[in-house]
Amino acid sequence: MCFENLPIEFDADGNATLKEGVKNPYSYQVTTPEERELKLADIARKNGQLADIDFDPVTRVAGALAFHSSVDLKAGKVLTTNSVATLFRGYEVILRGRDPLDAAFISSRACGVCGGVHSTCSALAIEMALGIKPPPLGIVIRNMLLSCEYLYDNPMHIFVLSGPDYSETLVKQTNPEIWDKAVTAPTKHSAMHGYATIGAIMTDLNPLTGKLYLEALQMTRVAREAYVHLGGKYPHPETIVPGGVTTTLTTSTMNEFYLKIQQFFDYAKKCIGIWDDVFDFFYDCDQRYEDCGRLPATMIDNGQWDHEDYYDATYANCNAWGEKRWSTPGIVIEGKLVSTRLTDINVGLEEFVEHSYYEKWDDYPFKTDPLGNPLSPNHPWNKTTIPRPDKQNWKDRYSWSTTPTWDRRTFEAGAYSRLYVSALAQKIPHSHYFESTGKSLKLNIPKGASLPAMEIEWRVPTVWNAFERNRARAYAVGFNLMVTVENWVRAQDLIKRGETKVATPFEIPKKGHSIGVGFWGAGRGFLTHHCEIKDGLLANYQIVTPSTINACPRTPWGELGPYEQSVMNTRIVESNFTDENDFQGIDILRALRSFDPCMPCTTHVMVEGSDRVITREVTTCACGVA
Amino acid sequence: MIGDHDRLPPVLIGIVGYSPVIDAYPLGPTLMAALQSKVAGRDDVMVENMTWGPIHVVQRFQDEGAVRPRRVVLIGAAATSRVPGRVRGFRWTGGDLPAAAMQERIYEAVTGVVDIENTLVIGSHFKVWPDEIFSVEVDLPADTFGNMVIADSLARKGEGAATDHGFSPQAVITELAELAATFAIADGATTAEAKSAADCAKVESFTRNRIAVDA
Repeated sequence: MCFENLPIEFDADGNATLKEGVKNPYSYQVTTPEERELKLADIARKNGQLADIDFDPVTRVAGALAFHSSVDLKAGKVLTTNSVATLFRGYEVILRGRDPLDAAFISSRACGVCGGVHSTCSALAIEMALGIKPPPLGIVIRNMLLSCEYLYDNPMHIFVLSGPDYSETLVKQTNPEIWDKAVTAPTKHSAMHGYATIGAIMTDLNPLTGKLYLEALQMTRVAREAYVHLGGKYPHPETIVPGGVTTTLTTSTMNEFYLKIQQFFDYAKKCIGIWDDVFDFFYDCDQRYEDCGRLPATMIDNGQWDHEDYYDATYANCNAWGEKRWSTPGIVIEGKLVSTRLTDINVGLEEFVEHSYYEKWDDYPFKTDPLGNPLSPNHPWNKTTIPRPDKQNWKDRYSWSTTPTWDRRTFEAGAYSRLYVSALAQKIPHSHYFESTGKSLKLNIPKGASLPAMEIEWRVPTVWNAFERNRARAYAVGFNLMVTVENWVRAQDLIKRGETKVATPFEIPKKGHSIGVGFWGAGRGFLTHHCEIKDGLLANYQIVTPSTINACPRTPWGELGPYEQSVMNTRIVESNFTDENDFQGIDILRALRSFDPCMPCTTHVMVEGSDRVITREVTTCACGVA
Repeated sequence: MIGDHDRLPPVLIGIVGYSPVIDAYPLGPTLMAALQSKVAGRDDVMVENMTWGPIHVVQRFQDEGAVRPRRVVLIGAAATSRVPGRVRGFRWTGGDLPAAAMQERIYEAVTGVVDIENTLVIGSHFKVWPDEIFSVEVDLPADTFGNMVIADSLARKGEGAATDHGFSPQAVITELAELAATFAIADGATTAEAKSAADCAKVESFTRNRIAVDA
């Protein structure tokens, strides 16, 4: 049984119940600020004093993630960490009391990068709450749109965001000894990318000028153009609605979409070859890199890309249709798959606010889910978002992010979780393009303009760290691509069979009470939208994003969030510094960036002293006037 | 936005930021309406809500190829605030930043930060701007913004809001529209104060390291 911390057990039919005799099944011990204060004092006593460096007066208010760490340079260790979401944007509050039809459009704005995934997740939640089943072609087109977002996001991350941390420019500064080796180190996968030496790859990873950096920007454009062919516009598409999509499909549309996607056939192989070579080289240079961003492989993914023959939008059948998704939902605890059931994911999910700028809530309206499985008072369906701005205090409240847990554990979310769970689960429906083996994911990527067809295999790694997150993200480009092709073929088949319907019409009932959840994934991983609809309006709306999960502050019982713990585990391999004045913290940055930080997902601008909220991308944008 | 393949008219006014999703504080639509009113009847001027990140903006202009507008006016919140409610206009003279500083801005841009200075700097780096580009910026400190909305929610609009925050939102909108329209359609724009990449507020890393040193 998958729960170890929450007192939940299962009967022979797999129905969950609370264990008998547990007096307060959802109680927990809160670590007191005093205990943490003592710990910090002990660290200071052992290490002399902690000196702030690089703490210029704030000259510009922007960005929404702040990460604070204390580092012992002599020992090469990180001593303390705090991850902070600095802004509140409150879509959950904005959506309260609105027409459910607004949810897809408004929640799309929760992220400036990946709005379509929020639209879709919202549509799924409304579909479940109101019993709307999309037509097969609507499901398949929605899958193809999702893939485009992933094909935009993942290359952008590995070459434009994380990539520069492994470039000639950066490595020459931080670890010149590694650059010296790279200059002559031969590559293993030149047939996939054309580079003879690691040094040549690192030169082309240089920010702004490197060929790989610029090529990634261009490929993100191709992915967006593919999206536009089906979705009308990007970002913030308006064609995704509960019940399907509002796209007008023609043969020309499908062909133009394919011509865009085809450009990824060789590019996906290149992404994989490049990052296999780079990370293997870094390991060869210094084994301490295995500790960069290292964590036990504990992660959850909801699965994505519904199969049109199985998805019926009901909670009652969600375990069945979830396991037929093209990527499998699942929970991995320390490298072991413990469940692939969406109800298990949902039942174990809780959000805590002890270290966040929110009030605790008193309501506990849903003791169980619609199937009778027990729910915590901290479950999203029971949560009320009550912002409470306060001064930042590492001992108490310090972030606008909540702390999501599953079975009272923090966990990771990422594009890599999609691969990890799918590889272990062996539940992916039959496809000519990809296959789960139980320990790997095999991809058959077709012939492209320059490279032949290739069978490529991502193997579940023996260690889980920053490098493996990014390596898996590179393979995810190939996986996303082949799921796109699978669904493009299915769309063509449906069209040949005369299917034209892409959405199911519906009306919002003026009376009644229902709940729904969208189980989906952003480019950065796990995404859920929980909604409650009462008499035609949204009574509650809760969003759990991947960056909330990864950037969360510590739990009430003191467990660090994934960013915080991964940096704590990171060894300082940076070598080219004399003191704090020229220390760059590149190993910390590599650890953090491997999660693909996307703070606008996590953050919100709030109205002090009220529950009024206003949309604002960051504090410096014209949302101030919008 | 990508997907909009209409040819651009010679002058484009772009509001850099988000469309509103709440009803209580509709400054965005109000500003849009004020701008459209100012340029009414001018087929050569288009007003757009540029609610996307700088890379999206760059790719949109790249998509237009040779048919770029001859003049662009961007409206947004100032990167730093000294005088709440102050509206200032600048003639953007471009310039590049050191590679590391530029990468920090691109990093912000592709992780969802929508910001007028990032848009200007990144646009210049990718050479998408026409020779004539202006910015109209309003000081809106983060800590006063929420209070503005509270005032609005308490129905203290107009002069009430001005009393609360030291400036009037409506006056700001009027001034923004006035100045943007002047830059868009009048010759007086050439007298605007120059601003370059070097004048932009410094972008800070999102990480802070405290170093343990010997006592």
